[in-house]
Amino acid sequence: MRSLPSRHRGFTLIELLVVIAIIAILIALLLPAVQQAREAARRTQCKNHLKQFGLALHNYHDTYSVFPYGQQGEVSGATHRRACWFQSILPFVDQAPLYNKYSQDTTEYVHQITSDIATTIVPMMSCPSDPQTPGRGGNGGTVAFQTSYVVAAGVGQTYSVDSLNSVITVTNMNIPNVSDPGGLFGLNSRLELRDCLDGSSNTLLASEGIIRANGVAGWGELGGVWGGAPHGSYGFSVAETPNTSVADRVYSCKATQVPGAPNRAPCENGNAGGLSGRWNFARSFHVGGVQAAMADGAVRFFSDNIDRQTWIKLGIRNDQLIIGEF
Amino acid sequence: MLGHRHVQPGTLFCFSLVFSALLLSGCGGSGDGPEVFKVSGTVSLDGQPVEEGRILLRKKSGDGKAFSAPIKDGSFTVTSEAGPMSVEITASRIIPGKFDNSNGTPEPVGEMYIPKQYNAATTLEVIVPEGGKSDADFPLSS
Repeated sequence: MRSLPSRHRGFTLIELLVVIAIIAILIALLLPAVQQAREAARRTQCKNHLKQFGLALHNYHDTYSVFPYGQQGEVSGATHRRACWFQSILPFVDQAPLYNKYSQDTTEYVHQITSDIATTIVPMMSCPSDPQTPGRGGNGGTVAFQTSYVVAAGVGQTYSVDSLNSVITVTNMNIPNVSDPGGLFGLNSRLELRDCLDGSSNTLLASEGIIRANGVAGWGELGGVWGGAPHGSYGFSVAETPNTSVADRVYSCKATQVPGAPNRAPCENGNAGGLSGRWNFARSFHVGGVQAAMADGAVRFFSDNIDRQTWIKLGIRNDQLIIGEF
Repeated sequence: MLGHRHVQPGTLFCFSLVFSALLLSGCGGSGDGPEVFKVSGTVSLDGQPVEEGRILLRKKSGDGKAFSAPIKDGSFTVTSEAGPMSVEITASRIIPGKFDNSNGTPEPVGEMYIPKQYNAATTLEVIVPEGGKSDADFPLSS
């Protein structure tokens, strides 16, 4: 018998290979997307934390009619020298028990507290995009909690505003131990929302930074809230754009650079280098920029390529200069 | 008939290629932001290469954005935008036997030994051309 032509012929080898190739291409597209999705999720969580931080500062403002001080002035012999905004807002970030315990503590310097008061991690103050979080240190030790977020201190100790040409010139970027570095937080500052003359939607309230290392002692890196305040920890400066290649300058760095971070997040040892001025800039592991909370509570993303003048104007609460779209 | 509706493997392959090309075209593309160039050179003070320090280039016009890089064994490479730049150079060394005790523990103190006409009150300038520069040398004298 002659075989009948089959109506149900199978797939040829070519067809199978093509199908497999298509599946392979689709998987190859999907796999990096999964990693991106995970980072996107971390970034969203980071944004959420920043929003809560902004709300905590606003709740503090609602209760006391002022924003907390950036850093507390040191009084010889007093307790809790070198405290900053972090200790003040603890009751507003669901850490009332911690705050009560801290209030009863009588250690002279906050960096000398090494008990569970200072080592308690407040997860809301860590950005999960940073592989080193939760951070520890920045206050001379290696155990106290280090935050990923800090308040917007402003631009620096001295700057001049040229209203005619709408240009701000920064002459000294030093942030700590200055009563008014230009933003909403400074030494013993007691600023209110109404001091925000540029409008609360045009003024920075807080932003994020990078934890350079854990398990290494250093003084003054961003977020070293348990005693690093007078060495630069408490706030960031807008004198340079986010993720700048200009180095942060603190009393002593945990590391002078971070491989893998944007522009390697450089840091200068101010004390061992005989360099005057202390400052930290906004930095992050998010691609292309940093997130920041505005004084009206909004959280926005700012590109590394933002115009430097715009960034400075956003950081100063009362420059009275027009800001375009940002 | 089934045979007439059958899609040719070649057509399928072409379709998949076009499809994946369309998908991939949305990826990559890191070309946003202003164009930056590599500027490299050497720094010496009184003929001696500066061992460790930092160099900073700041745009003399526009928004005044700054670009910085470390100096290592007298040479540096900084990534910068093009245009006229003012240059600041700092370098430090430890002062032997001098300590700061403000934190309760002695910490070695250093000094910045580059004269201030090269940093705080800088008169140094460089023009970064499109495409970068490899001979940005700064022979300083104290």
